[in-house]
Amino acid sequence: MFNKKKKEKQKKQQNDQQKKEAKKESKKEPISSNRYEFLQSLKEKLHSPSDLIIRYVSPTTTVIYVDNLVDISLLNEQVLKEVQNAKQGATPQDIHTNLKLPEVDVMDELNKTILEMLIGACIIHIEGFSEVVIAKISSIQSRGLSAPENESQVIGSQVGFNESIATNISLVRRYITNPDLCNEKFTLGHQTNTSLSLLYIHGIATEEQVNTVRQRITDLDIADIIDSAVLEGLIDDNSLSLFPQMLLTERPDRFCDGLLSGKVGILVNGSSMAILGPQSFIEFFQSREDQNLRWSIASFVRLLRFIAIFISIYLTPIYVATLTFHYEVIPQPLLVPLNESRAIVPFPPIIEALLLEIIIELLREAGAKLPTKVGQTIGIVGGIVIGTAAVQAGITSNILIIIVALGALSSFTTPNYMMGNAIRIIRFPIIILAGFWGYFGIMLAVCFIFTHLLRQTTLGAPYLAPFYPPRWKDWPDSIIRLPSTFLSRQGINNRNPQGNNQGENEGNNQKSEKKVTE
Amino acid sequence: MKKVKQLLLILIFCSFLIGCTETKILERISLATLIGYDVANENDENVTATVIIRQVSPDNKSTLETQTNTEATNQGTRIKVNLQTAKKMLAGQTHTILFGKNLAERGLEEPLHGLMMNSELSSSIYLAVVDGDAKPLIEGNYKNITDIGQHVYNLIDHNVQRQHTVSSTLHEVVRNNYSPLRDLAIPIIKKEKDIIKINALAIFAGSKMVGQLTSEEAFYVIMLRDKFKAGALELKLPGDTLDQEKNTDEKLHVAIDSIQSKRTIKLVDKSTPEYDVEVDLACRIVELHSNANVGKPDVTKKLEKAIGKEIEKELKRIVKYTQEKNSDIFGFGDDYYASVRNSNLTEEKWNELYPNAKVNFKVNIEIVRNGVFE
Repeated sequence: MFNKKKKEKQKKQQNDQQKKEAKKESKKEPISSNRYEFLQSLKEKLHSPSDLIIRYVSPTTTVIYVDNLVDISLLNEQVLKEVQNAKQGATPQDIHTNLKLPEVDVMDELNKTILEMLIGACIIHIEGFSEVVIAKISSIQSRGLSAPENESQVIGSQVGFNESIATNISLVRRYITNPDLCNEKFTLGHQTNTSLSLLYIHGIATEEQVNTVRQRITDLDIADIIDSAVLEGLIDDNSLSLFPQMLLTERPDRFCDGLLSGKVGILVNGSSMAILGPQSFIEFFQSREDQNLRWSIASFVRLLRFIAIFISIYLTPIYVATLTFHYEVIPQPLLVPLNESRAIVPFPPIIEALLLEIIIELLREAGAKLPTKVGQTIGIVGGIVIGTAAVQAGITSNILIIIVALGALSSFTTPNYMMGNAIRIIRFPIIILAGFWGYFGIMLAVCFIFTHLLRQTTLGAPYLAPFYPPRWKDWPDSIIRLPSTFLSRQGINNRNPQGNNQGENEGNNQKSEKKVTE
Repeated sequence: MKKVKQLLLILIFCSFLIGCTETKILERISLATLIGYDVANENDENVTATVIIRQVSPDNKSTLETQTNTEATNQGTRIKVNLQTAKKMLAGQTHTILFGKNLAERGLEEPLHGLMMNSELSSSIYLAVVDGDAKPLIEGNYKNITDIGQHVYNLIDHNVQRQHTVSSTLHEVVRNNYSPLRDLAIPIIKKEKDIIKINALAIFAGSKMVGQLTSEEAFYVIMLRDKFKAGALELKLPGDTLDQEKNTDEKLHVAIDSIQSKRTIKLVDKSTPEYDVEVDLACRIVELHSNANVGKPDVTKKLEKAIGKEIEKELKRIVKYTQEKNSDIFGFGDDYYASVRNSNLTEEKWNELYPNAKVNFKVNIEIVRNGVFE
C-alpha cells in the first residue's frame, strides 16, 4: 500500500513537470531581427544538424532550409532568383508578394517556423525584421500509386493508398467531388508531429460520430505515432478486445464507399492504411467488390465467407471434442475410417490438433515474412512435405490434416487482415476448451465470444448491429446482399436523418428545399 | 484488481476441474455396435447378452469380436465383458438391439427400462425380435456380411424408410410401452443360411409377445397406424374382376406403388365400442396381369373397387387377429380415451373392451396413374 502511494506521488510530480514543460513550449518565442541572433537561436533549437543549409544571399538576406526536404529546382528558379533580384531594403512583405509560389507565408514565431522548415519550407530572413518569409517548396518523395497488396479484388479499381497524406487526400477528392467533403487537419505526437486528416461528408455522416472521433483525437497525449494502425488501437472503443472495431483499409474505393455511407475516415501521414469507422462486426466480412457483382453472386460469396468463419473457428475444436468425448455422434459410415486413421497416433486428439495448428501458423508466419517468391515456395513445400510426413510418421491422422487445412483456408476468405487475425487466433483457446470439456467447452467458448461481441461498440454504435439489436432494414445488406432496390445506402449504425438514402429520404429533402424557398 | 483476482480464481478452479472429465478417446475404447439379449435360463431372471465389439488395433486394422455373458443386469454384463476386452467397452455406437423370441415372450419390460435409463444409447436405435435366439444369429458366419452390426441396422433402416415394416426405434417402442392403451409391434428378423431377413412382425400384449403377423401383413398395420408416403403392395384380386367369363378362383395379380394413404378413426359407439375407419388411398398401377386396357375409366373403376374390397378384407382379418390376441397395436384405446370424456379407462378395462370392439372399414381407392409404358 505504501509503495502504491509513493508511486502515485511520483506520477503526480512527473505529470506536473510535463505540464510545465508543455506550457513553456507553447509560449510564443519571437524571431530576432538580428541575423546572428536569429541563426544562433535556430541552431540551438535544431542542435545544428548537418543537413541545415544557410545561404547568405546578400549582407542582409539569409535563406535557410533543410537539405533534401525542399525542391531544388523551385529553390533555384523561384526563391533564390527572387531574393537575389530583390531591391535593397525590400521588406518580407514585398518578397511575400513577389514570390511566384502557390504557398508563401509570413511568420513572426520561432517554433512554428522551425516546424514548417522541418516539413520542407524555405525560410528567408531579412536583417532588421522580426518576421520571416516562409516559402513552402517541399519535395514529397513518395512511392508511386500501386495496386493494394493485402486487399486485392478481381473486379474494381486497382489503386491503393500510398504513404503520402497529400496523395491520399487527392485520391479521395478524385472519387468524391463534393463541397461537403470535410477535411480537418490535426497534428499528433510530441516527438513526431505527425499530421493526420479527419475526413467525412457533411450532411451524410452523423454529427455525434464526427464529434466522438474529433474529441478522441484531440484528447490523445502521445509521444509518437508511426502508423495508422496504432492510432486505430488508441481511439477505438475497446482496445483490449481481440476484435478490431474500426476498419483499416488501403483501398481508396472502399474508403470512399465508407464515407458515402456516413462513416468517418482518418488518413495518417506516412501510413498507407486509412481508418474508417464505425464498422460493425458483419461489415468486416463484406468486401467492396460485393457491390460490383450481381446480387445473387454477391449473396453466395458472402454466405460462403460466413460459412468459412464457422469452419475456421469450430471445425478443429469439433474434431477434438468428438474424438475425445463424444464418440456417439460419429456417423456410422465414418466410424471405421476415422478409427483407423487415428489408430497409430500416439497423442490424444488435443495435442495432435494443437501440433498441426501450430505447424500451419508457422508456415503462414514464415510465408508472410519471407519475400513473395520464396514465401510461396516455402508454403507449398512446407505444406506438402510436413503434411505427408506427419501422417506417415503417425503423428497426426490424415483426416485432421484435411480439417486443419480447411480451417486455415477458410480464415483467408475474410476480406480484412485484422479480422482474419482475430479469427485465426481465437481458434486456439476453443481447441483447448474442446479438448478439456468436449462440446460443453465449445459451447462455453461460443457463449463467451457472443457475450463479448454483444458488449462491444464501435464509435458508440452496437457492434453486432443488424442482428442485435435487430434492425430488419439492414438485413438485406448483411450476410447476403439483395438487389439495390431493397438496400439502404446508409446502415442505421451510421445514419444521418438527412443522409444519403435516396429512396427513403426523398420526402425529407423536399421538405428542406421548401424551407429554403420560403 | 478485484475482478482480476476473481477471474484468476475461476481460471484456477477450471484447470483443476479438467481432471474430473472422463475422456473417451475414440481409438482407446472398444465400441459395441450390436447387442442381442436372450433368456439364459427358464427359471431365473438372468439374461445372456451377446455383443459385437469393434476395436482398432495399432496396425491400422479395425476388427470385430463377439462377446457373450450372462448376468441379471446390463451393468453386470458390461463389467463382465470389460474383463474380457483389452479396451474399455462403450455402447454409444450401438445402432440395433435384438431380443430373442423367448425373451420377448417372457416380457420386455425390464430390458426396455434398462435401455431407456442408459444415457449412452440414443433413442433412435432400432429394436428387433429374432426368430429363435439372438446369439446364433449374431455369432453366425455369413459369406457376404462383414460387419453384422452395420448390416442389421441397414437392413431394418432402409425397410423402415421405405415403409416395408413398422418403425421400431427405442423412442417409439418405449412410448407405446408406457402408454397403457397401446401395444408394441416390433419386426422379427431371421437367419436363413447366408442371409438375414425381416421375416414377420411381432405383436405384443403389454410387454409380452403374443403373436406374429407376416411381413406382408405389416403393410396393413402401417396403413392403420400411420400414413403412407410411398408404399408398395401386391394384391391377388378375384379372377372375374375385369373379365366376367373367367372363374373367381383364378387370381388376378396386381401390383401398386407410390401409395399415399391417410386414415381417420372415428368412435361411433362408446359402449360396444364401435369404430368407423376410413382409409383414403391414392396409388399407381405398376403391374397388372391382364390385357384389359387400363386407360379406360370403367376398367379403372372396377379395379379400384376390387382393390378396395381386398384391402378391407385384409384389414378386417388382421384387426380380428389382434383382437384374438388382445394386442391393440393400432392405438384404438388411445382414440377411445381421447374421444370419451371421463372414461377412466385403465389397462384392464381396455383389455376387456378391445376383443369385443367392432371396427367398420371403408377404403377409398384412387388410381392416379396407370403405369408407365415405354
